[in-house]
Amino acid sequence: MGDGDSGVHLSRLRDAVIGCDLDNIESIAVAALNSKVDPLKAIQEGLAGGIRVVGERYSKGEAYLPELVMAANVMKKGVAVFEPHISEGADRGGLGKVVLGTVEGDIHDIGKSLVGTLFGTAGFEVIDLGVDVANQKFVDSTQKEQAVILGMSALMTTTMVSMTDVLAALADKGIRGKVKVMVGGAPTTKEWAKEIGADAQAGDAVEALSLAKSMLSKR
Amino acid sequence: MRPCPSRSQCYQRGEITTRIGFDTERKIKLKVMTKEEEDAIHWASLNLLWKTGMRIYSKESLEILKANGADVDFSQKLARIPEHLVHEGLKRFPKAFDLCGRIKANDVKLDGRHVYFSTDATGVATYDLETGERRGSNKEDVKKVAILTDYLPGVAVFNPSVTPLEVPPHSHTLHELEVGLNYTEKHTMVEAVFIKDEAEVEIKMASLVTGGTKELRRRPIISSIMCCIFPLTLDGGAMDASLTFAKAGVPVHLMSMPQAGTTAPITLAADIAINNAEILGANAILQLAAPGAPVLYSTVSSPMDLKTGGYGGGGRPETALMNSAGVQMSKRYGMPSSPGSMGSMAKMTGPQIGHEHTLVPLTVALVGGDLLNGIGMLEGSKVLSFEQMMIDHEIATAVLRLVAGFSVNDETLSLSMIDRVGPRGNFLQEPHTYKHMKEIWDPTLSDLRPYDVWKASGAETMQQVARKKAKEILAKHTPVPLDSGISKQLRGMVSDAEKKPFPKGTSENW
Repeated sequence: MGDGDSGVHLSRLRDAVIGCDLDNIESIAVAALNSKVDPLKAIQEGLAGGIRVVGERYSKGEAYLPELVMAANVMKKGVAVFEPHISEGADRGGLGKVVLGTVEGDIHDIGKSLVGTLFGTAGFEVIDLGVDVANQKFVDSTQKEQAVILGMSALMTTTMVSMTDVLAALADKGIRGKVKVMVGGAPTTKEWAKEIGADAQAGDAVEALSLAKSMLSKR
Repeated sequence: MRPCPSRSQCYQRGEITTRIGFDTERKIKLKVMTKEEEDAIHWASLNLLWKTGMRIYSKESLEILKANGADVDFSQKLARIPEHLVHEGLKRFPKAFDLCGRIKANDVKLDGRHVYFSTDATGVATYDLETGERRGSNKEDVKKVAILTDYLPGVAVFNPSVTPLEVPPHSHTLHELEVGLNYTEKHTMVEAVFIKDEAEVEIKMASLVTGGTKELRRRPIISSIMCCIFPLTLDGGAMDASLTFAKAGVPVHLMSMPQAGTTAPITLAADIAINNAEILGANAILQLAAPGAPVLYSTVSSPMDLKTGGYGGGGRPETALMNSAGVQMSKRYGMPSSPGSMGSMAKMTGPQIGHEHTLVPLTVALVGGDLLNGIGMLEGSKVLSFEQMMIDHEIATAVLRLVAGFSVNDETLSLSMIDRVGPRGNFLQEPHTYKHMKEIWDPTLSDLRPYDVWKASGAETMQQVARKKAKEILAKHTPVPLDSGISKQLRGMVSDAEKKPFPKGTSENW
């Protein structure tokens, strides 16, 4: 088949993500596979291309949060179709592992989960520890997974102080230099992140992703 | 709520994100008088019309009343209008009609179920969009208002807002109408006309666009304001012009503006009675002359400023009560309404006008007003602000959203989904959330972002954002133009009329 046909399939995949077409994404993906579209290309240029468009619209305040989440779910469903067909050893362009969680005593997870979803679609492997995560668990997972990024979220001023303790524990273990630590959630600010020695703070998931990418590219 | 085609088009183009706006269906309802109080106002109005009578400076109006059995004193220009004529008038007007746009998608349905907003008229100064200077208004300002109206989904009707000061005064309403017909596909409300011949030119201009007078009657793309300024008094020229419009099938807004403390008593009940009497009286005359003439009940009332004797502005709690009472009376009679809604004596955009421009339209909309006016004006409708126009549009969409209420059914209760997601769950990723997310009001100016993000993006005030948005719209939006031949003919009609003033109205001649 020619590149032209492949282009049609890629744009259909992209449009399905942009249009949040949860019902039809699988059949669109299967059709692409049947037409011998490279599965890795289908994910990176088709599905992820769609997510980038929705992400940009979200950053500009044009797309809605549920739209972004829905688009990410469509992408996941599409990826599941292509995944088994990617040849072993193919360069997936992975960006590394991200360990995420909401700090001890805090059970708010909407923002944190959204960060996970976005990072996942951008090429990171996300290990989401959930909510009310013990300080030690953050440290252990970071070490075990050799995470490039540790993201901690808090919605309450009373719980956000845990972040300071985690940073200290990372230093004690001697792995603070190996991981970029990002903090987020309503009470956190850039000033506070700097004060406690975190590498970055983001106001929303899209900002978090762009900060993460720029920090890693400077490494 | 249901989207109109033009809105959906905007929506598809991604220019607006919320579906709420152009023609919202009202769900929540409120009353400001009991049924007994309403009855009392009605009887008081009949009493005023018969016992006190109305001073009417239009010879034609007095002759119509006389021929139909009113007690008319021509030397005093006073008519005592009996109850049966008032009731005859109430029987004849259409209970539902459309204020048509140049295109059908922009028709304003006056059916008691929908609610809309219009711009305002007619000021004499403008805060310049570029320099921020407060200066005399010009035709370019009127054009900008028309283009913004054409674009903004929450503004359904164009009213010229300001008058072009650079044209001969006798031709100003014609210039305003020319702008309206050329630069928006929405309905144009023309400013109060006080001369019959002027009304005739306006009818000719509108007929040119609709393709004839018969078509204009079928699809009135313009409507006119008949303004009662003094208590129980009808201006001669204004009534003659209104009779001309009514006979042509052009809807007339019967606007009464009692100012409590000066042109009406200080107590609200009396204001409403006088306001109601004026509207019933004017309606009786129009319906006797032109049975079935489309009319609107328009109460634009306010107490005077008791400390200075000046105009009290249109944003006070009493304004909300009086204009709402007017709407309630209009509902009683089944007459569509265009109540005063946004009004303020504020000299600049900011907190004062923000609360005033919310209080009154919200109340009036809840009571059931059909077409709410006043978008974009400062200083008691004297000064146009494009920033304020954008801010008012934001308020309007919020009011429209509120009165639309919400529905309770299986889909909106979504019990099976709640059961599936379960306690401590999250609904953000549910298709149900995605499906219904656009039913939630989506502000275009109000800033909901966290402090850091807001600060990083320039820490702009709402006014600054509003000004930027207005400029953006004016730079990118081009209304669908009229046929160039028609546009040229309109130009010719306006410049012909410009050459010499119209003969004076009958009020001066007899």
